[in-house]
Amino acid sequence: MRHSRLSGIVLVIVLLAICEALSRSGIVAKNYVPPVTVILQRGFELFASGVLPTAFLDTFKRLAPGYVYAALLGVGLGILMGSIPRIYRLFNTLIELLRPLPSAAIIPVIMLFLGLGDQMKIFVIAWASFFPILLSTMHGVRSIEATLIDTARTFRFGGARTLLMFVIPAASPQIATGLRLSVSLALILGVTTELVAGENGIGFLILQAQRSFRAADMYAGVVTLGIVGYLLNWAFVTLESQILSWHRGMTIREIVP
Amino acid sequence: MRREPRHWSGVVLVILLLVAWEAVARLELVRALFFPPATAIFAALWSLTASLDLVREYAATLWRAAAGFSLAACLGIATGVVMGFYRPAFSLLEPLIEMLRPIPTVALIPVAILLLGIDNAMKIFVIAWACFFPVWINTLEAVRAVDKELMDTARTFRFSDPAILAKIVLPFASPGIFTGLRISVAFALILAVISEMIAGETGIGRFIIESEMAFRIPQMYAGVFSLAIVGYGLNRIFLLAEQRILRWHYASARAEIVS
Repeated sequence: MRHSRLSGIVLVIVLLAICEALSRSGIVAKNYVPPVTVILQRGFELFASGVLPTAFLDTFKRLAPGYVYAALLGVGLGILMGSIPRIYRLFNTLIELLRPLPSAAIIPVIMLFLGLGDQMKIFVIAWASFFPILLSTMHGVRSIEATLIDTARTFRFGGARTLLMFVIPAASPQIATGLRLSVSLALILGVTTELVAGENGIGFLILQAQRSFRAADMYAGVVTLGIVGYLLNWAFVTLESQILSWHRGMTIREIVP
Repeated sequence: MRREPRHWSGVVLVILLLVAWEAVARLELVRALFFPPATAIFAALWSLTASLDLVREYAATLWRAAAGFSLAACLGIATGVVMGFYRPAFSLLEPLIEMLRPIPTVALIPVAILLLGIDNAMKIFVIAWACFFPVWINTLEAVRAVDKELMDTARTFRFSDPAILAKIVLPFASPGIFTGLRISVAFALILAVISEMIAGETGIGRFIIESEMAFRIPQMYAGVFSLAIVGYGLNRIFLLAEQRILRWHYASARAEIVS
């Protein structure tokens, strides 16, 4: 198990070496596939000169508010729909109608109302991130055992206390899953909005590099975006396991005996 | 009386929202140009369908989506099965795939434009790329979850590897494989629309964004509405197909293995 990745890492290195050789020897045109070393060098230059950090900062300035709106609305409405059947029945049809719509398709509509700027992008990011959070929160709350809620009722806990001490801890694994799935969606829509109507950000940087035939810059942008996407997911998984281990301890101690 | 209201409130809400939309548009509370009445949108949807304009756009979009999806399905299932079944293949390919996976596919659209142009090849590549990962990961996990004792038993009876794959691994892994395929159907449509919005001349994504740019606003909304319907329909069709095919698979798995 330990050294089983060795062959895979060797394969990656061999592939990179082949790319380098093909490009250096001119078999593949340098304008399309520059040597790996040139891409790396450009990546460092763009990083050191602050171009890449600024681009990511611009993207995250839109990503963060969009995601936070989606999380607040999604968890809030998810808990309401999960715990109150009347509200579930009211909103379910509407949500089932809106959910299958590919979120990128609303970009032109939102462009009409909010223009090409940040507001439009934040709205689209929030829209796309909202649905996974809503659905997993709702399913999480709905799958809580009735005994748990009945127990809370037996002890005459009020609605707020039941919610904080029983419902949210019990549904937290699903809520966390929804929150994690949405991070990658937020990143995808963040980049998509920049590709369709961009003025700054990493998606715009990649597209501009392609349009002005700076292939090395383009690949450097894509690679950095991959690294950032990986780190974002990693951070979320780590955070999730930390927070949930605490929650799990609490749930077991408080509910099981 | 107690069971009826169950669905009504939800449907009533949707109807009320449509009526409110109509009223807001008719009273011009929002700029009329941006916000046509719901009835005008449905009229546009109807005439676009009747004139086969929408059908033509969807033919272009769905053809690309199907091509990319099929490519990804073949590659994803093949790599997933081989990597789940043969340990060395897993060690060889896993680092490479895990390195490529975190890149948001949309960021590859400029790369694909540079290498493949703005036509079908670029779009099919991007769609296939996005669809590959869900198929691959779900197949891989499903194959790895197949009962090891069952496979050992089969080996004891001198079943060959291909026989074990065909008779045990694939039937048992098929629910997982189908989950991956179903997730990918949605991805295929999304990436087809996005790639059309960024480059190209045909397809429903292009139709929507062109309608917006030309201020043919009812047509734009009609395009968006139609996409919701098509997205819903695709998912439905796939669920039905899944149920049918899996019923058969389960039955055959039980008949061949349990007895």
